[in-house]
Amino acid sequence: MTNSTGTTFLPDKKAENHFYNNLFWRSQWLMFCTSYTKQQAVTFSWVLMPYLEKIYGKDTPEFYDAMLRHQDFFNTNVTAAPFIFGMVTSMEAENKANGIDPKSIGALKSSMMGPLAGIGDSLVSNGIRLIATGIAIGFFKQGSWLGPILFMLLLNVPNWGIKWAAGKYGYKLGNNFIVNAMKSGTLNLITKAASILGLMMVGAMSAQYVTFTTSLKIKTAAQTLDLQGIFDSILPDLLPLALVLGCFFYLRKKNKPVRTLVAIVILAFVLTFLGITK
Amino acid sequence: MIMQALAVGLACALVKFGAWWGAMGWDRPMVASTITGILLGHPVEGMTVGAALELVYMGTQSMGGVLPQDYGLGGVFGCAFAILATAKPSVAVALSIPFSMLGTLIYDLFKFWATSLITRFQKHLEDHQIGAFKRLWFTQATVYLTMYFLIGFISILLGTNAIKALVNNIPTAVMSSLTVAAGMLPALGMALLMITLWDKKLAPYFFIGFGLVAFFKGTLIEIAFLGAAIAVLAIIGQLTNHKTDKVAATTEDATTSEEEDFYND
Repeated sequence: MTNSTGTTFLPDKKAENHFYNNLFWRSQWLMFCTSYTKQQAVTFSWVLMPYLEKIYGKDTPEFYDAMLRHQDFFNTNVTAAPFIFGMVTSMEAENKANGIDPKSIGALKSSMMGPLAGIGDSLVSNGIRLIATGIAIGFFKQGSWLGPILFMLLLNVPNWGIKWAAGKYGYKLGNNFIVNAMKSGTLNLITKAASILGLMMVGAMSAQYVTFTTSLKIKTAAQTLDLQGIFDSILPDLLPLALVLGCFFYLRKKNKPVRTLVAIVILAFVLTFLGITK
Repeated sequence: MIMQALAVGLACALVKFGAWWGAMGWDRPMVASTITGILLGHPVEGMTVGAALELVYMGTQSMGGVLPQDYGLGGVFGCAFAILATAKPSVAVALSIPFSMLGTLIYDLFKFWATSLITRFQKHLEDHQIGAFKRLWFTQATVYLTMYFLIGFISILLGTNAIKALVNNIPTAVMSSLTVAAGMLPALGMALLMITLWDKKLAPYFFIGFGLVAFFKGTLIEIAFLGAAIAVLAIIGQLTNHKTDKVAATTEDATTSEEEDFYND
């Protein structure tokens, strides 16, 4: 949907840029006031408030209709959300100018929030966060200021960059762009690449940060058998790998994380009291 | 103790603010712990304890407004007790666990309250009272932050001495068990991450990452670098395929079924 009506809502380049920046800052609040019944709905409308005021006029019945329209259930990834904000704003402007079916705005929102949540969560919440954590955590461990600085930059430069651009392109391109990207499979490929990188980091961190060694030595008449030494000669970090995979399969059987956590702590106590670990 | 309690209360509020506002990741345990450390005047300890805490909670992630474990509060209190009760990092990890569970309960209570406000928001709009709508919105945001401030403040004011006594009287056998547990617990974090990222076809990449560290002692920066190249390599063939596919109309079915495969895993 190209925006022929944008001229009344955003008359010039300056107004346009102001809108993109303003949307960026307002959308940062999206997570506040989430509820069980409607998740981010109230704040979704709160973010749109000034734009709807500008489109329909302050305190007009149309403005309140629009605000009420956006009280419907809404839930998506925070980083990807500005795309929907941009799109909805352009559709509301279109509605004011040419009168489209307001129901289509709601339908579009509900069709977009799922895919965007999936992509946003895997790309930002898992992908980028994981890489940023992997790189920064070593510096945290050393107590170096590089840790927090690197983590904040590696996480938030992409996070905020995507947010700003998403608002702009959401407004400019309307809904066609994301639908095409979904059909062509490009978005899935991005998700796939993020998963590959994420899994490699998880594998690397499993070897790096899970500490699980045995201090058990089996004494026979002839010699002492150092169990850990044997493990190390087969595959270094064999026990951590086994532990991670064990937890993974345990969780896959729909066991709750908290249960796994308690099980690990109990296991640690049992093994230590038996003298197998130290 | 009042000053420390104020500092931890402020840390709680800051962490909760940065968790939601802009999704800046201030609730990640290593950041939460660093913030607490800075406010308590021990930034370096905040970072080192934070690294130990992060490893345990790394796989825990708030998604779609569901908080499986409040790792942010876990980070704040783990660090606070490491500094105020001079607990070792392994003990700090153990102490953070009950707080991370309590945090979920508190968050649920807040969300119940927020849910009860929905009808009032709706009513203000139906009555054409945008002023009241705005005020109510600011009220709930303020309550959210104040609530966490009070949790930090009160817990430290009333609980530190008890925790101190507890930490000082831990038997050595329990102490070494906790150290073993702290080393093992990151496995849970990794396993949780694997659950979210898992796809049978992608399983080998996990072992590549593991092997690069286990055998070649690679650092995480090195693996991130190689991993990015490998990830691009893995999709680049398909990316060009998709471009040519677009021309052929018949491929639409093929791509949608692939899409479904991917989401099903």
